[in-house]
Amino acid sequence: MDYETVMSVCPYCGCGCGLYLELIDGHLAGTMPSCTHPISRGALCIKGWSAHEFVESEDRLRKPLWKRGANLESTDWDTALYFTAERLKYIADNYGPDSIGFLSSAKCTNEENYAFMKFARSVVGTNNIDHCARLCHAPTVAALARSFGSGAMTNSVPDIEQSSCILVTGSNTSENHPMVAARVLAARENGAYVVVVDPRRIHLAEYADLFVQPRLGTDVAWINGMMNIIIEEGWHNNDFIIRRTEQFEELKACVATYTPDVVRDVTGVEPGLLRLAARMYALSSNSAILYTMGITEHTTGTDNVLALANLAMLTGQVGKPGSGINPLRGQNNVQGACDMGALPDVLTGYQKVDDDEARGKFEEAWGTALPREPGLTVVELIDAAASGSIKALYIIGENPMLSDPDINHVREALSSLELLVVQDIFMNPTAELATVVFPACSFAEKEGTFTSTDRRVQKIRKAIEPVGDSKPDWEIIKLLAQIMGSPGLDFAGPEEIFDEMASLTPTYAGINYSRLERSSLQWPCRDEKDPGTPILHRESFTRGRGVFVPVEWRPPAEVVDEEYPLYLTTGRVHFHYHTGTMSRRSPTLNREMSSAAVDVNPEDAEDLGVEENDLVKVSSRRGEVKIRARLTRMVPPGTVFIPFNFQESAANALTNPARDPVSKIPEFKVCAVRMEKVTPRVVR
Amino acid sequence: MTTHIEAEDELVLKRQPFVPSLAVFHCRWCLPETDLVRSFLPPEVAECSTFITLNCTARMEAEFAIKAFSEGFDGVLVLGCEIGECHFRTGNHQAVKRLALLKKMMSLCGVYPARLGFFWISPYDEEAIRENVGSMVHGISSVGPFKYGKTWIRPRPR
Amino acid sequence: MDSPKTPVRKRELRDSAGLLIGSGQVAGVLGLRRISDHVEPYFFRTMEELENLSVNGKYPIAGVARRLMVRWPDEALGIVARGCDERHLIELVKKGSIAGDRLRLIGLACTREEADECRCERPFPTRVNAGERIGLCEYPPDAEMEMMLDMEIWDRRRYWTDVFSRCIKCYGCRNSCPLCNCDDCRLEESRWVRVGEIPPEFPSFHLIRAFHLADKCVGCGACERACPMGIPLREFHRLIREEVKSLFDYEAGLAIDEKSPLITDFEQGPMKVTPDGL
Repeated sequence: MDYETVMSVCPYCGCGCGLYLELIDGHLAGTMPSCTHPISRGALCIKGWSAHEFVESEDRLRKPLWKRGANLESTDWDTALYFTAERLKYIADNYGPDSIGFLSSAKCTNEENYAFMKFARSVVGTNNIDHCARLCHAPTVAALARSFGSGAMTNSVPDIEQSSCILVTGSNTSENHPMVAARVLAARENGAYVVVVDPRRIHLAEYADLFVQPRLGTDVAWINGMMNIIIEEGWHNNDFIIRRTEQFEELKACVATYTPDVVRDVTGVEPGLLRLAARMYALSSNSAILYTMGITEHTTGTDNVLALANLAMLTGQVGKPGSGINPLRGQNNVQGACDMGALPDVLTGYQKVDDDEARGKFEEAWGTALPREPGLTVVELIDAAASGSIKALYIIGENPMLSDPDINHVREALSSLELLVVQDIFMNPTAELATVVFPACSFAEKEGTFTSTDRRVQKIRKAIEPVGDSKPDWEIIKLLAQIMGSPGLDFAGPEEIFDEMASLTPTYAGINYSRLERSSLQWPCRDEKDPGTPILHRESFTRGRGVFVPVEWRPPAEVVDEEYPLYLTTGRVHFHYHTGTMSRRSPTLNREMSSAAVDVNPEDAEDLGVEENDLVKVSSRRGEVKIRARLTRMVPPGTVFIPFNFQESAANALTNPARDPVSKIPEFKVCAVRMEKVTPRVVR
Repeated sequence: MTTHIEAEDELVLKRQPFVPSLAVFHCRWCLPETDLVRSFLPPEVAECSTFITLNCTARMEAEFAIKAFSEGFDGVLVLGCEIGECHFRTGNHQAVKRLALLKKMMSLCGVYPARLGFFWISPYDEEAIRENVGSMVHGISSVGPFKYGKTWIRPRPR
Repeated sequence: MDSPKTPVRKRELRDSAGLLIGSGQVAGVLGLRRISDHVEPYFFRTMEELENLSVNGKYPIAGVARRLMVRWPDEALGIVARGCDERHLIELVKKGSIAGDRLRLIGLACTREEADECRCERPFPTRVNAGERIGLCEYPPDAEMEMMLDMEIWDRRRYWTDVFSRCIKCYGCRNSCPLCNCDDCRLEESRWVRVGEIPPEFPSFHLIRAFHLADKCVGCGACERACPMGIPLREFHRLIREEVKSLFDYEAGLAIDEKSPLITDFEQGPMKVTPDGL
């Protein structure tokens, strides 16, 4: 006869809402929002209200599995762990440590990411570790690190309400970051201008003062166009440029060619509209830019973000409340996974692996030499697996079989590995190809911390005991390291892991569990007294002066032609989360949306003879997908949209694996497809 | 996904001939034949209206009317027995209370009260029925079709 | 948030709760607990735990009580109840969702500031154990709603389309309302509200809910607090409550034996407006 509420953080998106897990008689009965939490403020979205539903699902992996013949069979922990350790050692000894790749999880806690990257680097000896940030905000990290010196959201979610102008681009905020959209609407109530720039007519566009609809893949053009107008009209912030930036002249020369007429030809945006947007953004006292995948998931993703950074610095809209560049991170802990160095070229806190001093500090702390060369990224790992230079992959909490581009290629690659270890809470298409499967714990069964999109470090707490024989991810990594003879991961608990990490990471140095008991903290938090940093770059940028990096527009890697006349853009839907392993097992969410639909503009539908709910076949150069059609004016004519959350209608069977050269992110947002109606065969 | 359909200005539509579509719910005890009910409406209105037989008007739930408006009907008409004549004795009491409240609620939300009509009818007095129904149809015709409006942009506080 | 009277009210609350626990009549007392800066619902079972009993913080705790009483059919519960909480419980007893004789209420009166936050007319339970009854409160009409009522009807529809289109179908309003507890919620049925749409079908989602609660809503404002998009639900429901009052002379949550007018016939519950006025 027990009733308990355990304070935790929602495991779905990067908003990081505080919620209580309600336990009645030891079972999860529901969730409730936390009234005093700065993000949720007493509210949650439908995913937050259903966050408990998947935890005790029957489908949970309860026992380790290993492949005997063609099938995966249950086994016990010792067998699975010893087998894995032996195989890893064998492969490392015979093919070298760089033949092993690690895919970490943006859903796992900071402690687990740290332990995993320590395992990859100190126990196996390779820098081949990456995670799904590669597929979402890698351009943000790369570009903002170059422009500002720090690749994270500059402001906080609560202070968006204080903006006087909000430019939302490439983000379907109401569906994917509801708490942020709530703040945007609240700012609008207070008189703020809302400018939405998106190729699709998103929900927030109905509330925008200005809705600009450029063509797919033309972001650098319209951003440079805005800067051209701003400089022409003298709306730029000279004082800010002189005091705090470098290379203004190079930028001015570059954007001079992006006159409103040139921009209209490239993007389809009318000069008058662009001018109005530029005016609103530049002349408002506090203007914020919010963006997500629509800006980053292109072959020009890094350039897109650099252009946005240029725009913000040009108008002095950085470093004050309600302003700044705000990349809205997707996963609940993708910011944390990046901070913990689960990336091939950096250690914790973005300290570079090829920086001898930084690496030296870790080598001393961990008592072992560490590899110097940056490793391979996610898509490169898959390619290397296909070509044979990677023999083993250890994947935690990731489902590349649905989230990576060109999944037929992914299937080939994963099937050709000598060892595939998958550690997850549910069986998924990636796990089905595995040699060994470790059952892991969900957010409700372990302690740890998450870092949400506005750099907010928060504690999650254990509510129930691990389901079945599952173990927290950090414990599995610890056991594996012990068997492989390395004592470096013998942690007593998550707190010890966090403290070790904080001692090596200046931006996290002042954070510890007892401080987190009282409230969340936003890094940089350099010592015990530091209250955290809601707004970055107030006095100066992390690198000192911000640098303008001029960028030129390049078209997307694949454009439409006669054979494939429609543009395909992919993205998320509100009711499901990413590859759906958790959300498709939650009855509430599944009831709202149980299958995928391709969004087609009614004009295109008429041309093709397609009606609502007809089955259509959408094909690209990579593959084809059968999916039902939904007619909506949300997509412009000539473009279709498929959400990537559904395995049976996998949008990524069609997408283009072409990558951004700097950040290696695939171009999920633009590729060319053909659509035809599937006529039902007559059964005789 | 937004499904708002852009509506033309109400005033413009008033000048065009407009045939309202109604959702008609009628009690089977006072009006057992759908064809009879159909005959009370002008033929062009009956063409695009839907007729639903209820066991008693007490079966009438708010959802029926709300969903009818959401599906695009321009009016909802409920025809039931007079007080004292209900087959279930007091079914029509509850129906009228519900519908009175619903009517007030819908007018709060911007639906013309004329669009929701509830008439107690005696099956022997066809004149009265025709008159009531006719005045309702006339009322709806003059206010125009029921459609989502453009989202309303409030004046900006400056 | 703390007014000068808080220490006294807190002491009184703790004493009453302590008495109840000590008497052994109840399995525990349901209230709010303060841990550092956070306030959460908690089931207090021992005197030591009462140290953290909080008087600040508003939570629709009647919903928790109902869920617990359904799970534990043989136990009696104590509950810290503000005015709105008591009205919730009365409505739940009327519905038959909980058994009134298994509840012991500890009445908590709201302060002036707390009443002003919710614009609550009746910020006290029938019997007050902690705090001082400030009496019935009156508030001027809400400015936003006044503006809406002044509009022409077609502008009103556009206004509500604008407001309700902010909705992201989180079901927060329904989940936090203690009186919204049907097993087969109509809002979830695709027959009445199309699934998978943001914003949900207008006006179905909100109007169906508003109508179902028309004779039950007591005006606690939990729905508005749970709405992430700032939809003015409390005031919207207040307007509907005023309609119910003017049509049927009925207020929810006041007397256990007073039945809702929507389920009574004319002999039991007469109506003020004649049907011809429809």
